[in-house]
Formats: sequence, C-alpha cells, structure tokens
Amino acid sequence: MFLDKKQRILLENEILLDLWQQSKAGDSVAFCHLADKLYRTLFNYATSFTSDREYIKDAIQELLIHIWEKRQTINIQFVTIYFLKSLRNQLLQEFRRNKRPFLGIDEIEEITDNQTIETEIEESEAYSESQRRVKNAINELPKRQKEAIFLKFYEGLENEQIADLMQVNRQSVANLLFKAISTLKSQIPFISHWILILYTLIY
Amino acid sequence: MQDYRNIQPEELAVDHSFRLWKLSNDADAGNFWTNWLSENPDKQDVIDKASHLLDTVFQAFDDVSDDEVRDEIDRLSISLDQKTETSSAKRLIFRPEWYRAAASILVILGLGWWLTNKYSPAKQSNPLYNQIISQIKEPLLKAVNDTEQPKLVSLQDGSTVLLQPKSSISYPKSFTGEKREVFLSGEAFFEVAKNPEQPFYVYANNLVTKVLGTSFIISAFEGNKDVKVAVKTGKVSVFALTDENLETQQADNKLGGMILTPNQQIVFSPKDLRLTRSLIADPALLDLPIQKQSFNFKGTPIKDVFAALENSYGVKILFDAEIMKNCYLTASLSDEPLFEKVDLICRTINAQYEQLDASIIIYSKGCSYQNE
Repeated sequence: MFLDKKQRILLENEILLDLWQQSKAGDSVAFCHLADKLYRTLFNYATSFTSDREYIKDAIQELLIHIWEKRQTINIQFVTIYFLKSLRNQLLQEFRRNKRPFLGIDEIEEITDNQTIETEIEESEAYSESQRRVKNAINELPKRQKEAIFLKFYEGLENEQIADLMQVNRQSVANLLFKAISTLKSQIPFISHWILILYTLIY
Repeated sequence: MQDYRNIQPEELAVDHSFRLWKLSNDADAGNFWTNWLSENPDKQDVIDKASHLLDTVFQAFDDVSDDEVRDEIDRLSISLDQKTETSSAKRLIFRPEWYRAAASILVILGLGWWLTNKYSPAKQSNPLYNQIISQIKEPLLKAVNDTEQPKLVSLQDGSTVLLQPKSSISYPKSFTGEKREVFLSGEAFFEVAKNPEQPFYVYANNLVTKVLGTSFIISAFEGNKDVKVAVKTGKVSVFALTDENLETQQADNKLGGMILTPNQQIVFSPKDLRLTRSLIADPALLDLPIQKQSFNFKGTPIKDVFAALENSYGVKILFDAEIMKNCYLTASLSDEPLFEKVDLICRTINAQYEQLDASIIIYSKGCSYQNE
C-alpha cells in the first residue's frame, strides 16, 4: 500500500530539503538544481500578480540570488511554501515601492493580443474548445481568486497553507475559492454541476 | 485508506495520490488507481472530469517553456559563479567590449580511450575516424605530454591547448579546410580562437564536440569508458560520431546536436551512442588549476600579472623587470586564448610581444604613468 498523503508530501519536501542543505553548505550546483525544480511553480505563481513575463523572470532571479546570499541565515521547513511565500512578499513589496499596479483587465487583453499566430494555431490544435474557455475564464478572474485557484488546484495545497501564504484566514480562502468557482461555473457549463458539492468541500 | 466511492471530481483533482498518478506518473499511485477503476468501473466519468480539470488548470497557468526555464537557470548559475569570483576581486574596466567578443567556453570531456593507442589514431574501430583523418590534407602532428606538468601546445590558428600530464593530441600543422579538427587522448584545456567560419571539432571516443570559438577542457584517459562533457561557461554542441550526424553538423556553422550550456554536463556511453544530459553534480570536474587562477587585476604590478600567466600556462614570459617596474594592470581577463590575453595586456600597457618556442618575450619602453 502506498504512503498516505502527509508522508508523501514530507518525502517530496525531504528531497528538496536535501538540496537546500547542500546549497546551504555552499554548493551552487545543488542550488541550481533546486531552482530548476521550483522554477516552473514560481513563474506560474507570479503570473497571478503580473502579466509582464520579463519582469517575472527578473524578479525570480533577484529572489533566488537573494536567497543564495542569505542562505546561512535562512531556516526552511517546507521548501516550496518558503519560496512561494518569499516570491509573493518580494513582488508585493516591489509593487508597493514602484506603485506598479497589479494585473488589470486591460493587461489581460494585452497578453491575449500579443500571442503569436503560431502559439494560437498550436493552441487551437492542442486544446479543446472547452479547455480554452476555462483558460480564458481563469485568466479573467480577479487576481486574488486566481491566486487561490493556483495554490489549490495547481499546487494542491491545503486551505490552511493557502491562508498562511496569502495572509488571510481560512474562511477568506474558502470564500475566494467559492467565488472563483462560481464565476467559472457561470461561464463554463460543464463545471456547473460540481458547484454544490464544492461548496461543502470548501467549508 | 480513504474511501473514494463518493468522491467528486474537484475533490479528486486535489487528492494527493490522484495528483501523484496524473502529474508525476507515480507507479504506486498508478497501480492503485488502475485497480480502483477496475473495481469501480462506474467511476470512470469522475476520473475523467478530475483529469480534465487538472489539465485545464495546468494549461491555464503553465506559461513558461522548457527553454525559458533552462535559460533562466543558466543565468542564475552564471550569477552565482560571478558572486563567488567577485567576493575576492572586483571585476573591472575594459571587460564589457571585448569580453563579449571573447565570450568563451569551458568544457571538460572525460573521454574514453580511442586515441590512447598513442601513435596510431588510424587504428580506431569507427571507420569514420579514418575517413575524417584521410580528408585532412596537412600531415598530422602529435604532441605528447609525458611530464608531470601541463604542457602548452599552440595551434596554427592562434588557439592554445594546455595539455595535461599523460595526454596527447594530434592536430594538423595548419588548418586549411573548412573545419579545424583535432584528436585528443587524455586531458587538455582548450582556448579556441574565435572563428565562426571555421568551426573547431574535437574528436574522442565516438563523441564529437563542436565549438565556434573560445575555450574548454577535455580529458580522455584509458579505462574511462564513459565520456563526460561539462560546460563551465558559453555553449558547445556535442554529438555522437555517426555518418548522419556528421553530415548535418558539418553542413552549416550553427551549433546543432545536443547543446550544452553552463553547468550542464553530458555523459556519453560509446557502446550504445547514448547521450544523457544533466546538471553538473560534481563541481570538482571543473576544478582545474587554470580555472581557479583568477585573472582579475586591479593596479597589479606587471610582474605579478606575468607570474600568474606563467603559473597557469606553464610558459616562460621574458621581460625587463627594471624597465617595467612602473607598469600596473587593471583588467579582468577571462578564458580567451593565452596570446589574446598577452595581446590585451600589451595593448593596455603599450608594449609589444613576440612568441619564441615556449617563451613569450615582452618589449616595453616602460610605463611613465601608473596605469589605472
């Protein structure tokens, strides 16, 4: 029989922690390994905050280098959550400092417009119509709802962990998820029959 | 064990073991869910919906390509390297302009033994070697290093090879064809003069490394059946020596095959011509003395600069210490060929140089001011 959920998460975290310990000892290759493992998650998470891809890349570089430089003083328990949280703090700080607005509706339109014809063709081939609709719908969610959806369904985090990351209480996480799903439901028929049960799941 | 009979798709989509199966291809989880489905065939629909939801969420959020991730990790690794270097010496002045032009490559190939049959590369099992060698019109010269010290070999095109002990290299007297080709056994540090028109090839044990310029290290010792290539900075391409590969690779001057970027390494198994790429797990592989040698100078007396070069390259640099006592150098040199380094230094301090056998002679009228 396989390990239960908690054990599995601990095991995965164990692997990342191992890389982190090596990094801490000064092994920059191990640190690059670790960064490689986390990169996709970090990048995709950041898209909940801004649509500027180059900005995201720079922010992540800055974060990783900062963590590397401060590695001696950092104690980490759950690696992924630590990195997500640091990235979130950094982005929010920079937004505040530069008065840079969060992703707005206009910017979302922009991303869609900027997609090259090639990717559009690829997409229309690879993705079904319903998947594209969900994608658009998710992208149009308010940023905090999008963030919650990311953490719940992409990262598979518990509501409690999401609450900790987003610095809100569990009830707010449940509300965010509920609103997000409701919006998605109204736009995407095939989700609609889940919604009642989801309500019970979230609370 | 959780009872999944009454589970809903969106619950399933966040269920850990379900995610392990769908997202990580976990074998245990896969077995479990296949079994579960065969016991609960009516739940296929729930599984499909949950998979669909996961796919959709991943597509909605996945916004970065593999190449982008790799580039960013490369960028990180370069920054970390520089952080380590610059902690001791500051990186300075005339770097930007020519550093980019000379942007270079450090590669280590831990190679097999194909040329260890020292005096006859022609005895190779792969008939392609004979073909390649027969196409080289110039007679091949051979340098062997039987000493305990690295030995400098200069090639006609200005490239230099720092041949490590127990190593040998075969090379044409001059590079007349469209390619520059050398054959190595053992270990060597290459600094290849940049010439995109005439790519540089290193052959060893059925593995070919192709470079358009710059520097790298190769080691090919007997008994080491697997070939290792590790890149410190820059880019090279690596491919197995087969007819097909040779044709496509030599057709153009682009880097094809498997591209290696910093801190990646390749392990090549000559038996099945299989290449495996990974990050460098063992940084010691790149730990040659020449790399530890820092070429960052800040107001450094010229005699110390020359001493550093002498140490790293095993060459003798002759100069008049008295005349040049007022010459100081501020520069950050990297992995350009030795003579390019010497040339840059000479230009900076207004001197000339001449190469004579394994010695370099510096002509200078002295420096009337302190070169900052």
